[in-house]
Amino acid sequence: MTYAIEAINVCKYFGNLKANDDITIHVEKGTVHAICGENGAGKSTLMNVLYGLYLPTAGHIRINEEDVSLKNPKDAIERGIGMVHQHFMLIQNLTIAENIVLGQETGTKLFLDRKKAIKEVEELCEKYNLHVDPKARVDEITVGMQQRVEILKALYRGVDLLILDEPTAVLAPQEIEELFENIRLLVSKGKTVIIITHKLNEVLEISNRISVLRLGKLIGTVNTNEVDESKLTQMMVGRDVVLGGRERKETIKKDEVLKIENLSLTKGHHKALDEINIDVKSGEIVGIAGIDGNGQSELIEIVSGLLKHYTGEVEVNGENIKRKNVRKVRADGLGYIPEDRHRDGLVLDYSVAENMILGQHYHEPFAKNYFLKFNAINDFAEQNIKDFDIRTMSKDSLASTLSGGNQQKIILARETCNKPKFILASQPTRGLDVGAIEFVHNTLVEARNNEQGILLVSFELDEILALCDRLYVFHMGKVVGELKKEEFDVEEIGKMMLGLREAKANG
Amino acid sequence: MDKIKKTCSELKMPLIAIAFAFVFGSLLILSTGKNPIEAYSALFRGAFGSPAAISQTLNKAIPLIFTGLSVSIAYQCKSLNIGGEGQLVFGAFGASLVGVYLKGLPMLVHLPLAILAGFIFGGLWAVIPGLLKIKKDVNTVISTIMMNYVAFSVVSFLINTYFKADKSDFVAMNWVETTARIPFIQNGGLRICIGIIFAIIAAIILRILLQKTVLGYEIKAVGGNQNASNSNGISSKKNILISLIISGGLAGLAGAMDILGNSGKLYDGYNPGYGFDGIPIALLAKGNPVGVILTALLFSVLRTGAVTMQTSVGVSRTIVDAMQGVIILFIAAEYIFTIYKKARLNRTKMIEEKKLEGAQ
Amino acid sequence: MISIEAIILMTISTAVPLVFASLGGVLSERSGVTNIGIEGMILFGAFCGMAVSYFTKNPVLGVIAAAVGGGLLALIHAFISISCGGPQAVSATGITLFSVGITSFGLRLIFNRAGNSDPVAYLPTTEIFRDIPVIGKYMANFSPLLYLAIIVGVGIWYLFRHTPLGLRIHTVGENPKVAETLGINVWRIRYWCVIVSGMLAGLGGAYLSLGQMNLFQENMSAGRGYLALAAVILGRWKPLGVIAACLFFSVFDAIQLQLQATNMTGLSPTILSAIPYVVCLLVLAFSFGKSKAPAANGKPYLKKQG
Repeated sequence: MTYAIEAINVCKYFGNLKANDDITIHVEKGTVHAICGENGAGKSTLMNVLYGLYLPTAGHIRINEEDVSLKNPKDAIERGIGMVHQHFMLIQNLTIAENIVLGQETGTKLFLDRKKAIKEVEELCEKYNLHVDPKARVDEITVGMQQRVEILKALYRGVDLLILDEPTAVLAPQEIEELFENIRLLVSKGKTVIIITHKLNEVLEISNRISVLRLGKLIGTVNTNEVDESKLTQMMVGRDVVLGGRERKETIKKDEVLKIENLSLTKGHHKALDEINIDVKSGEIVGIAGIDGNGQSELIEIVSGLLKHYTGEVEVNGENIKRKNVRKVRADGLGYIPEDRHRDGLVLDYSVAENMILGQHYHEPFAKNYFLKFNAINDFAEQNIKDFDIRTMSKDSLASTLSGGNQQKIILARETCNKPKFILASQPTRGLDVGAIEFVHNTLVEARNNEQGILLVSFELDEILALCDRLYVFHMGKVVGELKKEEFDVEEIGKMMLGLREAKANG
Repeated sequence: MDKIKKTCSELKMPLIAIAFAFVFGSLLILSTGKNPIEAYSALFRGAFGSPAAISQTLNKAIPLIFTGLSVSIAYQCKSLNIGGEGQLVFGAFGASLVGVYLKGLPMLVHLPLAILAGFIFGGLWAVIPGLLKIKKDVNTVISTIMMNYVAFSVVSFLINTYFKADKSDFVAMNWVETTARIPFIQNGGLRICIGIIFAIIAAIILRILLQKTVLGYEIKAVGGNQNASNSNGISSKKNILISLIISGGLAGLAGAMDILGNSGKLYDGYNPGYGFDGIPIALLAKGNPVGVILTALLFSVLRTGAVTMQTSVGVSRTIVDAMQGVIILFIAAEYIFTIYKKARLNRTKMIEEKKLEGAQ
Repeated sequence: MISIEAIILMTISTAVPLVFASLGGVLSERSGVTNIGIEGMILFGAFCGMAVSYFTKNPVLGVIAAAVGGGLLALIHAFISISCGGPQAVSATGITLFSVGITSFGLRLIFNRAGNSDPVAYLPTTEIFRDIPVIGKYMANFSPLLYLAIIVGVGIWYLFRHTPLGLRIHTVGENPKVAETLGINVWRIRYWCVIVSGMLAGLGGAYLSLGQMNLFQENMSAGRGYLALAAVILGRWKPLGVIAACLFFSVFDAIQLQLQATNMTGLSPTILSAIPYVVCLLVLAFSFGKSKAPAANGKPYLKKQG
């Protein structure tokens, strides 16, 4: 058996932090090797070492049974390693062909031969059965197609070993199937694939061997046909994890906390939202399923009060929000957990305490007569740090010094502690580790049991299926399906997400 | 104890920047074939050597404190207002209008009105860049500097036409009424303008505004993260505009202080450069209003002393301009240290977490 | 009377420094570094050009010195904003103040006076074009730097339109991380773009002190650097669009100069000289739609420590 790539005793330290601690993995040629582990386990660090973005602190890399040193991605590319990052590395306003040849352009130094680029891309598409239009611009194509472009980019560089970082995170179930078929095709042509993921069912389906990382250490490498999901979970987390929140109580569902009628929004030339009808009652979690970029972020901006130039009716807690600003909407009983906590949730240069009152800083008890009341602010912060188990040196530490999970807890505390009737949660678990995800799920389910209404937007279908009482499926700015918990069906929902099918009866 | 330590570490970089600027200045002086020690001692003699010199240093600090505060408040909201000079000139014009043309008022009414006019005119001049920023996302640096040129022209035009003094050797406005002049304290050789007290009060007010009030919280929040502010009901547009108006107003006050206290009369072609000095003053003080008082004094020492240096040693006072540039460059480059510190902080944070997780 | 012919000629000749500076701005900003220090680089270039021409009596060496001088200041800006990841507007402001101070200082050092320098050897006009029919007599009156500006403009247009390097610069300015994963050296590209932008600004300065005039005046850049940056925004970061924007501003400058010369409006020169700036502000205020800057413009890209 020959090995495509091997990590031998690889260590990567950041100061005292051991992101990778003595990891040895052998990846066999012509196989799919999965690397599993929760967030922060060191998967990405290891991949960055293999791709030349990081230099290992100790240990070395072997490619085709030969010691190599990879100082930068260029070295890795030259040795036939390609990587598809979780966040696609594409330039939106360039064409597919331009994106693919970038860095190894066709033509001469003084002349970029676009025609030749297009022709070469077309040949690649043919050879690997990955179809894209080389002349289309990246910002015009779907997420699934962007991923194909990423794979083509690697193939154009003549990869033998392809690293896929969380490739299924943004795809619909059917697209995942298609991706897996492509992976199998690549392997049949002699390529080797490393896939990084935390989705165990997918690992079991696609891989030949699995290596599990936890807290920077290699827990073990196993043959896929010798393990099952619970064994893997044990390896990954070290304990059993129950996602989807604890017990769900019967709720009354008497108030309508969100009511959206005929909501449309035009963005440039296309309709970002098209005649949307949605309602959320108290005591239920309602999910929005769909692939990224199908109108979810616009919906969130509108419901949170940021975006105003829509048509149709949006009522939060029974009141039309068209004429209310963000502050008023929030004050009238809306808690908002944004998708990107660094962009929309926190001021990183503010302390934990200052972040804890963001948006509520202007009213009593935190302020009076234009002045801040520091005693009240500090008490409030201390209380929340205790209640939400926020790991911080003190309430005065800058938010930027906390881990992602604890930062998210600041937002969670701020937005849920005064029990708003309606909570708008957008990807509340993005980038968190399993422990923090558990906490977020529990908080949301508790809020539901407490007769609060929740609208949950997530691109992780599993999360929606586990948490929601009801869900809507978005496609191209339209609601293409509404399903109750007992009707949830992955296959069906996947088709809807891709726009292949509409639910028979709406409701 | 911790506080002292913190202050010390905060002072470190500005001091290095200043030291480096002096070293750089020495090189320039050497290039003219003069002795740097001689030149610098002339400089300090010019700034402190006599009661008159000390008075001048303190009086010159007044407008500098105001322009330093002006740049600071805008920078808290992450706008770089380099149009302070234009706002200052416009504020000086406003103060002069009230000072010259309102007559027969008691000082207690007239002087505050004239000062207020300086604030309002300066603030108004900053409204346009503010609107351009929030409506069109036009870089504040570009719009404020354009407004400078426009301010010089407009004020010059007005002084040359409608508001020209009846009889004067130079083109200028009339003398400001004595009821609108800022008084001086005289004692022996000392002659210090009351404006210095106004400047200190302004710095304290600004400090309180930034640290203790809802408005200050919002301005800093917007400066820290516009998106998060908007998502949480803090209008970034409103706060950017407000901070720019306050900034313009403070620059206008600098002009008002200069005319009502120092010169008493607005001449054609007035642009004393204090607006530009405000930039390094604020950056060196890291936007801290109380720090601005100190850095403004430093620059006042340099500016006042440089005149003596030029006359007695023959070293051009323009080296101070170059030294200012060097200080700003240093402050900008300092970022590399903060980033390094942040990276270290991140690492400690991760380690702490791992420890906590391990303890579970 | 105002002569259209005079205005056209004046427009072209006042546009030259703007074109140089704004093409520099395009290069720098397309690579992701804002360069508000262009103003200072023009001024420094003008000074270096004059000084070298004064000492060597050779204006061509002066032009080269101007480009080198602008490039050196840009190198400082590049170091601070690329290697240190410092705030670019602050760095650029420092550059400009520094340049104002150092040129005034240098002026006193060489000529022992403030205001302006002695006349120095300046670039001759392009008499070789005189024999071209119809337009030759106009072309002969221009400085060779005008033709250099045209060549540079076309060159930068070609760079972005047709070369691999242009594609890479674009990538670095849109998303430096993408560039790095493809093995493109982000810092190297940014450094060169900023340095060349400073050299172009320096050439703009040389045009002021050795082309249009034959001496250096304190602050002779007079805000052209900022106008040039406004032209970059107005021209949407595209070389040809930016040149058009420069010509647009220059028309107003030419008209105002003509008005001053003919004195037909009765308005004072001081108010007329503000016209280009007012026009610029108005255009920025009323240009429809938000123009799209390079996505990573102004954002430092720090390499991961390996």
